[in-house]
Amino acid sequence: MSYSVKVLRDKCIGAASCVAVAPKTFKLDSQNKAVVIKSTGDKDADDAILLAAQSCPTAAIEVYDESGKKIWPL
Amino acid sequence: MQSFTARVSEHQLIAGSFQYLHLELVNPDKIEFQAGQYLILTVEAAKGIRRNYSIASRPEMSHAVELLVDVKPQGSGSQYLKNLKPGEQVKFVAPFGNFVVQDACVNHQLLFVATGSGISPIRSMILDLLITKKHQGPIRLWWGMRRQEDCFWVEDFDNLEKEYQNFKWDLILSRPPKNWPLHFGHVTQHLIEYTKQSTINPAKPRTVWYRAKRDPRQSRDNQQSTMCFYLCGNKFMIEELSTKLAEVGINKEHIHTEKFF
Repeated sequence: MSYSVKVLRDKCIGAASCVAVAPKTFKLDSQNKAVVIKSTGDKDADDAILLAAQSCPTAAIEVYDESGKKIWPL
Repeated sequence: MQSFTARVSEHQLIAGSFQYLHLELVNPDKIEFQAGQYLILTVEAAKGIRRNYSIASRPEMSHAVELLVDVKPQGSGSQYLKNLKPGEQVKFVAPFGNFVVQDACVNHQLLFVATGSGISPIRSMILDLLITKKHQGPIRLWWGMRRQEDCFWVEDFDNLEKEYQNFKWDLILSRPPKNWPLHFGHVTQHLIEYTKQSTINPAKPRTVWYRAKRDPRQSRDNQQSTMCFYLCGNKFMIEELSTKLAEVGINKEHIHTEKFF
């Protein structure tokens, strides 16, 4: 399984919880907003990506499964 | 990271909207973490909602974790935690975070600044340094709170100060009662004053020594050593203080922060 993610920039407050949990997927840009890192091979596990999204205090991260179905937020 | 199940062994409303929880680990029954790190607690399993909480206890207490939370926000996490009763089980994943005392800082003066529940990871770090690691270097803490009735752990920090000569702390109230005998205002102004009056800043090797004017304890703290700052609390304090520290010449590599939201 390989999840894909999207950051809702307007909701992001730069808490960086996602960066701590899934550092190969998320980073903060120069405006302290989370952005998705373009994958170069080494990836976070899907459960880490989902955990990162679930721990976001503003639900600013959407997670999609391989079929494109949104699995978070519910 | 690892998943844990724990049982609430103690839950106290300790002051104002601040609550203390002691979670005894069930499975696994031991945790390894660095002082300053946090856990991600499941607060609504059915909806998959999780929230981050700094661990307030020191790592040596590996069979349990202590949390200090401010439930004023009334969000999902607050609602969940407020209703937890002793005996109930919780689930969390841990440990996370880089807000830990860096190896490069251990030979420096360690300056901790907290507002409100930001004291949580800082308590873990200070207890770990003093009790477990028997750190001998100077440690200072400034803790900003709003009102006297919201304060807690004051006697605990006073006792630490009596027991460990290298630890000094100040409670600073932004809304003190009349005739408040201790510090008041905001932590930022106190820390900047201390920094200006204190030691040589390595970013400016020609900085002139300043003799401490008000607090006689500062003269004991003065050393030709660099300072490392650890700031935790509301983002406004962190952003303001980080900017002001840079203005007085503190290298940003010596400033470590954890914002609470």
